[in-house]
Amino acid sequence: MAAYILGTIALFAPAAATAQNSSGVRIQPSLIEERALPGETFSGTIAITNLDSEAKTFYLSKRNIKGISEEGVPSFSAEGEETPYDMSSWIRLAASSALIPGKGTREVRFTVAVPVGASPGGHFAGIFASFAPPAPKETGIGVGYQVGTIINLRVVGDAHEEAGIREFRTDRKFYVAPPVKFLTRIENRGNVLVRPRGPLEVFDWFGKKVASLRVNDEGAGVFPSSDRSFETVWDGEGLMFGRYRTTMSLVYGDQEKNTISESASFWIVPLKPALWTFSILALGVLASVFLVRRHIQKKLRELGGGGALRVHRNAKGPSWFSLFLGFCFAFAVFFLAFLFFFLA
Amino acid sequence: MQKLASLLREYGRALSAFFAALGLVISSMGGLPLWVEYAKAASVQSFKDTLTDSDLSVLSKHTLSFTTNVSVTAGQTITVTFDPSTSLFTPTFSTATTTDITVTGMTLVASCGGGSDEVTVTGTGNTGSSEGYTFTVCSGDTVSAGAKTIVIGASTQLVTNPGVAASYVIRLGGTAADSGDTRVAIIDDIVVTASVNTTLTFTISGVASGSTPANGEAGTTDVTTTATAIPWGTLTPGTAKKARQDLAVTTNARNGFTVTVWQDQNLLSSTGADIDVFKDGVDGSPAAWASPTATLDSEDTYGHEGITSEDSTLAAGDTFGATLYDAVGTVSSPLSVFYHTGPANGTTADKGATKIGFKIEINDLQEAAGDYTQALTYIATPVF
Repeated sequence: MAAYILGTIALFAPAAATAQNSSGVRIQPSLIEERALPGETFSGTIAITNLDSEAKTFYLSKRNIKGISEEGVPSFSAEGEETPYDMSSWIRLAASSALIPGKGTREVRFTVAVPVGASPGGHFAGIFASFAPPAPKETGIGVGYQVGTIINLRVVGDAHEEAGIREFRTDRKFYVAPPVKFLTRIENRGNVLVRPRGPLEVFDWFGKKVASLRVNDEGAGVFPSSDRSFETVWDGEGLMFGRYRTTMSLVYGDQEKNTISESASFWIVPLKPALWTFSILALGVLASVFLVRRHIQKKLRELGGGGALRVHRNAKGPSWFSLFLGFCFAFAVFFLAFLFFFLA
Repeated sequence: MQKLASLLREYGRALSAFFAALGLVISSMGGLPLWVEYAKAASVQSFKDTLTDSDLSVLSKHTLSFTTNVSVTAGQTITVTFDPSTSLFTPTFSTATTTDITVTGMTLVASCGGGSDEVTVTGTGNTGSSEGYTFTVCSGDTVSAGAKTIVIGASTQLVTNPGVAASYVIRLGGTAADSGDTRVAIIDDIVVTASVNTTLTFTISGVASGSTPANGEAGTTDVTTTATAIPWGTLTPGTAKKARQDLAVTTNARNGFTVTVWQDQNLLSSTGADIDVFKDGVDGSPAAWASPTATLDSEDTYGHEGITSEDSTLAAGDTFGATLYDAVGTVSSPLSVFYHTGPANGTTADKGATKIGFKIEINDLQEAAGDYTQALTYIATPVF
């Protein structure tokens, strides 16, 4: 038996004959970074602009930020949920809602009162301007939105600022050609937001610097007790061959600039040109041996009056030098095979 | 046959010689020259140099901390060398500035006296090589092993940073047994946009029916959405319906923005029946659309609703791939649908604009009701 769900589309049809309409809001500032002493109070304003043509009511709220992901996406706690970096309870908003005319702007004042006993270090929260989803009367979805200003407040005191490199490596050990991708994971072991950034230098097998890149040049933050990953790509240029070493040094800190460093290495072996080159060289060597041998034999025949040439060999077996040559030969072959099959 | 064997042996030797040379070349490529680095028998531990300013071409105080393993005896030296390979720092020194150099773990004096662990200091100045400072243990004294700090520029700063952004070695050496290297990064400061100037603009646009759905979905959209409503209207069992909304973000926030979405509940009717999340009520990884499985007595399989995003550069990558759908998130775990790591202009795909697709399907087992509703909220914020 078919089940039909009836809906009244007219309730949700646009009033005008326009196929699309838009709704939105602008918030300024969208990022606030401040320092404050315990017991200090500071104030500011947030400007909210209604981008719609008709007046709208925006509701104002505040929430703690309980963490950020490795990509810097903040996650907000539920109202009343405690976090180690609480600060939403310190925030007073001058209004809980604002009726803003179409295309109009309203400034909302906020005050942050840092408690006397506030723990030193980072505290994080968001102030949101929200448009509530309209309640559908028939089958469908009411859509609303919250646009937030995020706050990074550093309470001055004996804050612990420490970052470490949890991981620094290339995405592969062996490349036939660039690009080479460097993967860095930074761990924040302190209680304040840190923004580690710095140079990543690449050296060839002669020790010559062939590239100078930047890691996190924009200064993205790493949340306390969290990790954040960064990716840097080197496209290379010119002929690249051999083992490369890379050194990354990142500096972070507010008053004190600390540097954390790590190194890594990788190989670039352009196999196709390398194989062609080695093959041609090997053929050249063989051809040279053949021609030289023929020349020597011809000269010896001329000297010996055209008789057969007898070569007496030492019957003691392979010499140490022969064994060494054999070892080097085997090493070269197996090394190239290892690079290609296991690290490519 | 003997001649052939002889020939093969000779050619084998020639090839071996060739590959031997190749093997030696490869070994040296392995960084043999780089393996010969500065090293002594004993290394200091926990050696680091903390600066007050890491910007280019500025004066900075250096606080070097380290732990030695071996005592330093009378006449031996501890040297601090800035950038031993290219000497791009500009250190200054004069006898009048010794008060600007302080130490712990030993006693710094202008001239040797009656103490037991006294050192004097001299500086090379900006000589172009081996630039730094030398601490010499006074006659008859011994500096015991353990934690030490050397502050260069305690009051008046003495060392100017290089003008080239790079990573530089700071070397501890001298005739003392312990030695070691650490690194400092010298880099131009970020130009900080004043907080008052950062803005974020978020816009939702409705899309008419008959339009191209989001993220490569076939066919056309079935309902006309507005910025604040997605009216599903009448649902026919076995026939999926599609809808689309467009999002735009404009911001000058240096590290970009993120947009997530959450629902307050499943599509719920006043009778208590609901239409579950894709797929079959289980919030798993994004997957290709499939009809609800219609398993009798398993209400979650009577109908479901999913979401997709065209943004292929989300924080986790191209999560929604080629027309993959997922469940809308919850308030405690919202779903990421739009993300960018830098300023945005509101129009460029994946960086300032994207399309969000919705899809719903029921089967014959879905309870009849006329008021399946829910509220959906987008959250847009900058990224730290």
